[in-house]
Amino acid sequence: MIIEVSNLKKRYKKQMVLKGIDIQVETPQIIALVGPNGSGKTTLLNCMTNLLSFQEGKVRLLGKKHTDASLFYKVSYLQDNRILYGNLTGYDHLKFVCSVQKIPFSKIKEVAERVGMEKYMKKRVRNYSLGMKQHLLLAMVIINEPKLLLMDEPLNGLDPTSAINMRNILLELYQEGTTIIVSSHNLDEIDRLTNTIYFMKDGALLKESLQDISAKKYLITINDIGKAQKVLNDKSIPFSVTDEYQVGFEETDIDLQSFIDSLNENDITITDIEVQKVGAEKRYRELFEEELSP
Amino acid sequence: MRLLSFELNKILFSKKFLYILIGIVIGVAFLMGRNIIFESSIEKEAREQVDDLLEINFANSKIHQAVLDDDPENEEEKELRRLNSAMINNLYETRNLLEPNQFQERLRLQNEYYATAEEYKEKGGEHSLTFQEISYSLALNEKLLELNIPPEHETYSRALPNFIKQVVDLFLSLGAILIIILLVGEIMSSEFENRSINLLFTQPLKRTHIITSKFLSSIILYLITTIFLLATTSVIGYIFGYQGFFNYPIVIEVNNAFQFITIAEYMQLGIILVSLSIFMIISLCILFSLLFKHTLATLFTVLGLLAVGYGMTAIVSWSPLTWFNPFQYLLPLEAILFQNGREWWQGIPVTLLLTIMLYVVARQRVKTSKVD
Repeated sequence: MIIEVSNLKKRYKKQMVLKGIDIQVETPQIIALVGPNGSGKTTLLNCMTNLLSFQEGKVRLLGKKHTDASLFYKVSYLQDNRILYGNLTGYDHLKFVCSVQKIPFSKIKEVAERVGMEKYMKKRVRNYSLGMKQHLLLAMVIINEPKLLLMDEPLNGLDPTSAINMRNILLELYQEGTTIIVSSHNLDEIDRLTNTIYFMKDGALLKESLQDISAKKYLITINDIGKAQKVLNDKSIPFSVTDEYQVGFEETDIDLQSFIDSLNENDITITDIEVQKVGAEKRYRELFEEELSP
Repeated sequence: MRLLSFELNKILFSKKFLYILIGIVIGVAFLMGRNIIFESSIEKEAREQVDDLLEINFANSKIHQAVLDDDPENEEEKELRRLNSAMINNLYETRNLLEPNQFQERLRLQNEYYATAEEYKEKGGEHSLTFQEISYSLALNEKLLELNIPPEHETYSRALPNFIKQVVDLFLSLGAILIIILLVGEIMSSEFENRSINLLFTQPLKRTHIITSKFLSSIILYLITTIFLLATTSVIGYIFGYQGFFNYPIVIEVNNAFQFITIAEYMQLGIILVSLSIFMIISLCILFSLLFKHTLATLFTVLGLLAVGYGMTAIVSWSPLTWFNPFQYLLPLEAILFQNGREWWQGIPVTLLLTIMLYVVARQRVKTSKVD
């Protein structure tokens, strides 16, 4: 068993933060942990890694009790960038992880190249941008080739290139047999990463497989955004403007052909069509309707 | 060991450590600058001391004369007047021997003066010098004459050993405590405040090793800082001062009698004793950091405890208590200079024992420590 969490209950004073969480993972997979702020995502990950105490329940990772520090040879936890030491370099951090994990220092260069931080590895962390810190955090958690990787908001502060790079690395790790639990607010990235989503709502866990939810979002690049807005509004077609030459709409609202026809009828030229999965977002909207309503 | 080098790196390459080292260099240089500036006033100060004593003796002289005018046959008063006159003559001679190269003659004259003053007081005369002060000065001067070492000014000496002693005295009088609080007061609590403890807690490390490495790295940092302080003082003293004598005598009281240790022994003892207190403070800081997880709360509690502990030391002077008082070496000069009914080392076992106990409790505590 890779992850075995049974009836995990955590209470802060009188407030129940985790209400009997159960997670069983037997085969490697990528699981997304999704929920609004304060829903208990970080608390769950912290409880699983023995950073927080809990009142009830049992946690075992890779067959070991969660209090056994030796499990961190094969379990990594990517956390908030505040865990980094500003006056040390990225190299110092990686060297530290290598030394406590008994990994040869030669691995540092290899992993730095893999995450794309070799150029600033010798800089002090206090001079790092948010994205650079995320790179370092990623390097620190993958250097030991973990069997289980827990990630709390790993996409924070990443530019699109870095986000794509991180996604590719995670997919590679998954293919190499690593189980990944990733908590994130970035529903687009989650849709690209996995179909297994655990939604957290008020301390409870709702497990979903989005394989059957094949909702798609289309991003249409056009030559005249003003005209398109007018046409779509006149026809009462729901849409969103994603940038100055792009509008987006969901498949559930209108099918692609009708949308294209509406634009063509009004001499609006379409230059590109991008298709995005929106299962996570769609389900999120359904589950957290109350939070989303103004 | 792996964790220890990481812990050392964290502080050695911090701005805070750099500022502390710069502060030490500036402080020591300032002290030497002050000594150079005020060196010229040493002779003036000595002359003023002689003049003050002369004033006292002249005043006494008038009193004796007045008494003898009323009672010319008063033999006791005649004897006092004779001794007083001898002191006045002695002081006139001393005034002409204030050059540094005339120190032997001056010390002999001073001792004659002190011996006369003692006799004068014993025979009922009044003098501003106490018997204690007279005995102290007599003993020190005799030792200096025996060793053929010129006396150095207590505050403004540029002699290398005496200059180092001035710095060491400041170090022993709260300096070391201040440095260690600045250096490692937040070594554990800041980990909780910054959440960096999460990094350590999610590595395959025994949590007790984190405490051990924090403790050892704090001690190593303290030793590095102390060595840096002594090295800086020695270099500045060597360049801007003069050679002096490391066997310069320091007077200590042992069971109400004066004894001597060399200035080198005095500094060694002082540094050893204050270091024991520093180890205890490090243990206190680590333990309270684990309890409060907050730097200010930790520092307030530690400093409050030290203040109360030392306050009790000052209030309760019962000698056997020194076996049980772990706070007596916070300001260790008292323990070295005044060994009346007690030995300087008596507090070592209890201080070490408390340090070890605090360390063991911290090791136990960290096993169940959480970040919430």
